[in-house]
Amino acid sequence: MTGIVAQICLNSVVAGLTVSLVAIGFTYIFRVTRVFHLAHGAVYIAGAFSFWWALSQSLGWVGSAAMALSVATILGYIFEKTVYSPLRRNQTNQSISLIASMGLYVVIVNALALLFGNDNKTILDPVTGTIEIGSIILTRVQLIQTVVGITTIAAFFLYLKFTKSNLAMRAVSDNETISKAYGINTEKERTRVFIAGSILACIAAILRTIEVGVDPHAGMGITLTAAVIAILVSRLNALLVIAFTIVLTLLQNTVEWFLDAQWRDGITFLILLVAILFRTEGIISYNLRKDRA
Amino acid sequence: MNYFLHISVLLEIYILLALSANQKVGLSGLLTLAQAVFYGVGAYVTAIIITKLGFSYWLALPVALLTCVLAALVFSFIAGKVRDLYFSLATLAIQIIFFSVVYNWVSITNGPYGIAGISSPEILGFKINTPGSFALFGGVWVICVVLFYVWFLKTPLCRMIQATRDDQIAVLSLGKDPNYYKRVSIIISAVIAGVAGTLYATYATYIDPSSFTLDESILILSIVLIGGAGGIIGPISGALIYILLPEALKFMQMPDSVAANMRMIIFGLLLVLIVRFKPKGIFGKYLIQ
Repeated sequence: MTGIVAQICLNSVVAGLTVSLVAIGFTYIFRVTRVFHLAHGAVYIAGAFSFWWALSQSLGWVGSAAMALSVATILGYIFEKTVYSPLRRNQTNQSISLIASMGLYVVIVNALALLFGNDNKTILDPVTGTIEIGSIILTRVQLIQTVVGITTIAAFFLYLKFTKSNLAMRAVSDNETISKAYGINTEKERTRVFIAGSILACIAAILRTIEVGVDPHAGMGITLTAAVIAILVSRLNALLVIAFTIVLTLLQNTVEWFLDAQWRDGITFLILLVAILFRTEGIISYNLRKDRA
Repeated sequence: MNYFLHISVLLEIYILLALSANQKVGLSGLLTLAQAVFYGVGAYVTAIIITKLGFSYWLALPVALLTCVLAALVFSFIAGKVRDLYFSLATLAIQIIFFSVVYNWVSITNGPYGIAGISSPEILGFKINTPGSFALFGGVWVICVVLFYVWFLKTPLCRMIQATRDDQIAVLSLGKDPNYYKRVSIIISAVIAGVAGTLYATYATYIDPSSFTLDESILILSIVLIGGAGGIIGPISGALIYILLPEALKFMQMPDSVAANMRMIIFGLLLVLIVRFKPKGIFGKYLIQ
């Protein structure tokens, strides 16, 4: 039993690291731009399919990853510039950008399904092999996911620490108008956060693709989990996002082990519902939200 | 001919769903991502009462609608607590919880295998089990709901519902309870979606959880937003576009496998373009803000 618990914990930490890449991107986009970016799932899937396709065309791991990152970055940039930015200039509210985001998601997912089919695609030359540490088994894919996940998160922290972007993003998140008055280029910060979020989502997509493959509809589930984290954390703090994601993944894996895989989403969203209704300001924040009925 | 009648039945079901979503989105300003829950509750309660308890459609119908009203009370509690984006997210959560429950509660819903053998309604010994008779039966329901809205949109109650949508503080200042008007609106919406669910269950004679997913809720919302929220013509035209689009694609010699995805691409694109350039929708009266 101890072995099983340890294995579940390890699997949750590794999976949580991957999911947290999507969650950090989603949280930063949501908090900085106020866009509930469901199309983040479309960016994720587009990145995964680009990687899978490039790999099947013998572009190699590095070439395929570079192609996937380019596609995801361009997509995130196009979404912001052609849809979200004009909507913001028209002073539309969050619900409108949510609807636009749903539309973008539907378009991209169905376009990918049209191009590649609805079935699950796995890579031709998968990474195999395991490492045994006592009674715990770590697959080589999990090792890659852990190393790449930690490296990416470290790079993101370094980016926040050594550039002015972190402060600027916080300022825009707090008050966009005052940020503009103090000379911050808010448009640039918004674009940056969309690009950074898309890159993080794409890396997560690549890490998931080498493990389980990709199908066109796999993006919504992971994006919704990221959305739950964004609401629960309600702060622009990547460390908290990572911690919450790992705890949530642990809970999901426990539910999956003891009940059924299909209950995991139900339990996740029950937590979201309770948080929205009874802890409306999020679990961490102390500022009351202004949109209570 | 049968195919044309089959399309007519689907159109009627989606018109009912669109009008029900319009009640929440267009008249109350509550952007719901869980309209498929009421659709599913109506369908599942009907299916369970008919197949497991052996009762007729006419007994299943009021029980299904009553269950929808109870579910609507949960939604109105949420609408009383949060609004705007957070209301949408709460409904999204309910939609996913509903799917999990329906999928996993195998002893009642038969889980992923669904419920088969749902018998058709009967009126005075005449069984409604052909596409033609169903198209007529569904048509009667649509006419009833449309006539209801022709009357309802002019009532003081509807004006108060719209006032709650537009300015909740003003409604409070008149000494009225905004939550009461939201509750009434959500109940009306739930009942109409429940009727669509009972129709679908008895027409298809088989239901499973895949018909009541988040995708379905997004689709119903999209139909209203594309057609236009707030009136009667908008939701009906949205449903017409959604149902007739694949027929137009077939006319262009597009194979079925491509047409299904192409329909969703066009629909998604329409949604983005409408939000961007014509936020009221094609025939809408209310600008969602």
